[in-house]
Amino acid sequence: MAALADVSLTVEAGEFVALLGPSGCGKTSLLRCIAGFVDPDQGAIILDGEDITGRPPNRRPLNTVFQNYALFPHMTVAENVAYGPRRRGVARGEIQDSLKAALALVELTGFESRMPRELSGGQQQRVALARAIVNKPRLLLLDEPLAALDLKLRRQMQLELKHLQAKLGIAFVFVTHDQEEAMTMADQIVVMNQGRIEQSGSAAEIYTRPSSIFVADFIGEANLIPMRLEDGRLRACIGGAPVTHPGASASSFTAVLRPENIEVIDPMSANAITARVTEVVDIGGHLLIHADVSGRSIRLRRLGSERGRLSTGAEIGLTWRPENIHVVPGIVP
Amino acid sequence: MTDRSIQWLLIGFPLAFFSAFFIAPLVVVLVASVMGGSPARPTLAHYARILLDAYHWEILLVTTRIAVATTVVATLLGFPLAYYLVRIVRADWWRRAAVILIVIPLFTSNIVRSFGWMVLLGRNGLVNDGLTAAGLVERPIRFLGTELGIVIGLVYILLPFIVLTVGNALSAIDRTIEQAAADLGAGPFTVFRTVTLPLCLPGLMAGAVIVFALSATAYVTPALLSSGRVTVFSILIAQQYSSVFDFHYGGALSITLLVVTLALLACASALGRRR
Repeated sequence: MAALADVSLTVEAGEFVALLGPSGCGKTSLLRCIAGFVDPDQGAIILDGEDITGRPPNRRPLNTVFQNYALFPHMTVAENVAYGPRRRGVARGEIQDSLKAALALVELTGFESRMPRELSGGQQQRVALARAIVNKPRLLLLDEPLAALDLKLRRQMQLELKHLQAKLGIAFVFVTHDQEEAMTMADQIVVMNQGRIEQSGSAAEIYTRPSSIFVADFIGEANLIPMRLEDGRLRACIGGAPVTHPGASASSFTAVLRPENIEVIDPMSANAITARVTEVVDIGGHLLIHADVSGRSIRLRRLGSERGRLSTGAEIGLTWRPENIHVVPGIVP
Repeated sequence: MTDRSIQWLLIGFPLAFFSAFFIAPLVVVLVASVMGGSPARPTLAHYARILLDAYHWEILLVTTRIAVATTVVATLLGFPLAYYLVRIVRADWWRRAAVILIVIPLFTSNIVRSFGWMVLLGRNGLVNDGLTAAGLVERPIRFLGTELGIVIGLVYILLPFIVLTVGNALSAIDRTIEQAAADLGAGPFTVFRTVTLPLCLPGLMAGAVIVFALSATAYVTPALLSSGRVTVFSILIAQQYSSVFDFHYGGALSITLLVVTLALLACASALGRRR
């Protein structure tokens, strides 16, 4: 099986693109193709109108920040950062200036003579970043650079990276499996699955208008409800037993209903779908509720203030606005 | 059990072993080397005899030359071999077979292997036959009884130490570090020079130290391959102990070789650290 198939991706100058997907989806393979560590069997990689396919990594005007940072353990911070400029034959004085500027940018001034092993994970991360941006690449590739940091530091670095990117105007291609990270940072999110691009667009687009069941399920939480075509109208197979139409078996659809878009009403009112609360999880400010609707589990997210009527076992009524239902092709099991 | 008693349990046996079989004999040799006359009293006469005699300096020079040459040649042969085994070989079975082939000579007796080289390197041995048959030389080269012959024999015996230490160091290098260097604009040779080589230097140094120490003090191989024409320091020592029975002079020779070898290694490691 091919690691990547039929992938077409355009990155605009200065754009922040996140490649998002589960492990093994091909996002790192795509990054390694762009960096030049693997050559694609087919297709081309074009940078600024120039075909760089097949060029070795050292002759591509782009840089990579590796997942484990890959700092040179036998060199000081200054030697690490100056490695790229020295390879390009930049004059000594100029190297000193750009080294100083790069370290200032990542707030590591004064760390020049430290060895990588003397730095914390977050500091090593910054050195890796400085080592890449000191070369002023047209494109910076980042392979899950924040994965090894703890949650708090990761959140802080996400914002710092985004500000840095905006300031430098370098295009970033950022690989991550963390959708929150992608949504925080990226202008364009590219959702990948099984070596293919499922959908690409802004965070809002991908969340509100997913193009497939995979994207709907992978991005955020979603209630996926099978739908059937009945007398020319789509009907959700929930809360009642709709009669299947003999002619509509070929076209099946799935409704995507986000947990926060489901409202809780009196079960006796008209249009209410009757449900029974099976589980309530308080996640601080919000309640995650699992409710059973004729055998199908539906997840909702409500404010903590509604706790009173949402106890386990309670009978509730569910409703939602029609515009909050998004329909994707295919059917869930 | 307390931490301290575990400590003693771990260190006690090796300590007792080394005291009995290494430190005690060494002390005996050291004491013998500074005693002389009858009745015996402390003297530095044996050391004076060694250090004031150009003959001993000559032999020390030959010994050092052979040890340095062996170390350099073994390193130059061993490094590419280790690189090939760790980095180039794709098939696991071939890597394993090659490592076994490299290690197997260590399981055979030193004497047997040196006799093997005597047969190979002799006037009408396989090596000379091959060279003359190929028309590379007109007359057979004299290997036996020359420093070259001894170096060949020692390199063969000590090569595994370089290959194993360098191979270990090479396989411990994280490949993404080399990829990072390439990503930053370094070509394959520059990646090797600035990243791969410096990172396996500790392994290389360890291997070189082992080879140097073993070749500077080797006895069997030089004794057999020298045909009595080349004398190294260990041969001199063995003569004193086994033929002349002068334990005082022999002891002083032993201590001299030990000190010189340690001093040379200290110089090498100081040089290595300064870089």
